[in-house]
Amino acid sequence: MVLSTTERYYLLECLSGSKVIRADARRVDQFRPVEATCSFLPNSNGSSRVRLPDGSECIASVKAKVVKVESSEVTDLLNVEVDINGQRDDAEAVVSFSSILKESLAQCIPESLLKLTEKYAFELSIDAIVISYPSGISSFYSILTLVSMAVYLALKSTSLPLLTSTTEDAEVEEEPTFSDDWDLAKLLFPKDRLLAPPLLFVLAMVGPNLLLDPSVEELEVAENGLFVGFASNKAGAPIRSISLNSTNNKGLSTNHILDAVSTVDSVGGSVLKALNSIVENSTSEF
Amino acid sequence: MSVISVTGFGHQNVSVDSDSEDDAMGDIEATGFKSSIVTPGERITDDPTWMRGHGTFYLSNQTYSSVAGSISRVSKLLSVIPFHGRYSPETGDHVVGRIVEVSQKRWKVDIGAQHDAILMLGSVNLPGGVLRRKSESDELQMRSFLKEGDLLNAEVQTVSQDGAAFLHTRSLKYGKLRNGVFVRVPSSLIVRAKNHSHDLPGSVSVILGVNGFVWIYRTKVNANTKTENSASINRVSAQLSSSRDYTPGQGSESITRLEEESSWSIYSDQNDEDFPETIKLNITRYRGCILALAHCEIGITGSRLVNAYHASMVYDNIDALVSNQVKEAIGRDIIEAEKMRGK
Amino acid sequence: MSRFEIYSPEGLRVDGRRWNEIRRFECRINSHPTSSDGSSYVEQGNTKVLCLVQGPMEPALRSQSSTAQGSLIVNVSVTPFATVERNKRPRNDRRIQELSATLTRTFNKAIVLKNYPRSLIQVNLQVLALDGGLLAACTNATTLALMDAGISMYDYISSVTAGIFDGQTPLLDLNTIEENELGFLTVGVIGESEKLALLLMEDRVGMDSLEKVLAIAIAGSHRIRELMDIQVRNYGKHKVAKLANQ
Repeated sequence: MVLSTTERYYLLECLSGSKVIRADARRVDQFRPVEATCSFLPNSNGSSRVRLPDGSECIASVKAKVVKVESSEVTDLLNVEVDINGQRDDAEAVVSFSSILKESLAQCIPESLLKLTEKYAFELSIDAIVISYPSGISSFYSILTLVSMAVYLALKSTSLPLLTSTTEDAEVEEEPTFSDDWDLAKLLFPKDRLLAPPLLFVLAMVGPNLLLDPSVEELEVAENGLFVGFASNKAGAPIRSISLNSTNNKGLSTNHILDAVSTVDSVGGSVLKALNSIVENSTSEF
Repeated sequence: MSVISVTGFGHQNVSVDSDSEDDAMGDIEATGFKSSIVTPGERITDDPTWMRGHGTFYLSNQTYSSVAGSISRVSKLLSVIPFHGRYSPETGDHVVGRIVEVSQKRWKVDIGAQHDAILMLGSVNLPGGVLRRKSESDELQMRSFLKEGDLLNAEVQTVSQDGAAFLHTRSLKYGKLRNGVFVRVPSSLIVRAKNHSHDLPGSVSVILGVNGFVWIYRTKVNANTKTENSASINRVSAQLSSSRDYTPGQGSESITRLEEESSWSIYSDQNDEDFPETIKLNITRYRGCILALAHCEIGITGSRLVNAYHASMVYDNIDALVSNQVKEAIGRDIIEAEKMRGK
Repeated sequence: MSRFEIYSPEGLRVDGRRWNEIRRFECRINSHPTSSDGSSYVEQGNTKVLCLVQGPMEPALRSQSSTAQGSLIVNVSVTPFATVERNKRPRNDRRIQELSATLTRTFNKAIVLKNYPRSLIQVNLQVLALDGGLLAACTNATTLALMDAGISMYDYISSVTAGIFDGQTPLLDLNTIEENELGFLTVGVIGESEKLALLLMEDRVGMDSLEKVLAIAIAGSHRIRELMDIQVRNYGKHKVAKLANQ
């Protein structure tokens, strides 16, 4: 997306002043509104669809498969793939989003959640497909939060069949069997536990200001950016600085980073609550 | 204050029982056509006296619709206007566009249509007098007038056979855009009117491009005196050029300088220096109002925009305009107020 | 795998349908107004397809530009989670490429391309869930999305599959289980006519039963055209009502 020189100056002036005026009227700590739904894919254990006002849209699916456990590493049981429509599989954004998501998921999914019996476990295949995004965007970081929300909703809506065979099968030659009554299925992330999939929040720096969930235009003029993870109800790893555009780059100060973490800390809970209400009230329609 | 709004997807419900047959019967008598809504492959008429316009095709003496849309009849011209689709330019349309390419003697401009519009070097006012001839040096410095990414407003001068628009900016109300923000809405929501630029309350002006590209900006300071100035310049240069051997730069030096300064300023990339915060906030509020009208699929006009602006004033903080509920409330306000006034 | 009873002596199929019944068909038009010029979403049973159309627009490459008529590009991508078993297909998967080519051929004839010189129309299909009738669902979704984009077409192309059971009974609109067991074909019918814009038969269907299978497939396509037309008109009424507000 190319901005005209005057648009760029105007935007920069509005965003870097003492009172920040964002073009879409948001406060600095306000997200773009999203539309979301989940559980509409009958062939997946969990699924979701999330869309931003600019038309960016991500569809995510979680499929579980029973596998024999050889190692005790969670990363071996997680298969995360991001696909961005029109981008090659080895495109930078595709590769880095996949690995960022996988790392952050591996950090907050305990092995016990996937372990089925002593010998078997669920392997999760998580696919996130970005079906549309504004044309000519210079940075895909405007959709990282979107992708992480889609993955969050897909995982939150993931249900797994109830195991009917024994969990102590170390000595037994038996494959696990499941109840075929889906009413007995249990959620991967039970409602009564604090445990939740992680979210990733992008923040952009313009002058002394910090903007949560920057829009495509804001990324064009941002001087620097970073993303901060939110898991177990607090901000934390991964925290990484990101380069948002090639024209306007300045260093990141410690204050910015601390501010970013505390912003995410203060808004994260509300985001989880809003997303959870979608899971609970889902009509399972596309 | 909510940090995020997450809502379900709003869908129109699929209703299988259609009452289209009732409509069709009612319409036959009124118009002589089956129905005002037609879909591709539907026969419209077997009367060969109709001229067939856009959205129709002709096969063995029958006229069929080629799009999903509503029938339009203008004297003997029969066409079908699709419910939805790209902007299709018409001569005289006031549009806002963005330069996508600078090539020899012409700019290509994205106006959201099927083809990029063409702005010829000969169709713009250049520094140094309205009627001076374009020289080779102008060709070489085209980027210093308008470059990729620049926004401008212009009039559609002609439309070529294949639908490409040719633009011109030969009037002081057209040209490069400054001091504001861009927003895009579906072109079907902009009602074609006599006037598409409006000065609004709060020192804000708007250009509602017929193509759905909208520019919201600070009302020109001293707009009156400026227009007067340039009008007098026009007169001066017109007088000068009436003498046959006139060349740019000839004549009194002071007049030439005045001309050049004012003309170069129309291609300036500088926004106003003293830009009050209140006006910036108003610009953002108007942008929110335009999106609220678009969200409610209400046709956007200058007066509706003013109404929406006033309706939005119940929200002190502009961040309220982000939520869809607020947009819908503003939309309802507008429609109800118009009903009250018996519109 | 145990053999399913594809067609019971009582005349019921695996999912309880009769021989001549199509699956639940639901569609939406203009599902993605911000990110496309035309869009649609089609569910045929458990097959779910999303279609986004960009254009008619200025082609990115000179080679896509013809002064005689518009060019059409159709991309199909089947998501890895579309099938019960996750299956990531390579981008150059031969079956998918063939599918794209078939759709391109069909719609090259259906669109009034001479109206769009020097322009490109790009159709992107995303298959979100797959349970038989892939080509049929893609065809129907493309028809609707092109219409939403206001692109001129000679008529609807509506599509469905039909197969033959035991060389005797034709079955309409097959799901994956039935597709795996039976010889079947896909037709794309032009509007309310009996003419085909598309025929694809990859398995054996006895010549003597071909007529029966075609007859039921055409009838099924007509039913689908009807359902799509209702949806398009409902959308149109909604749009016209809004316009009256202006």
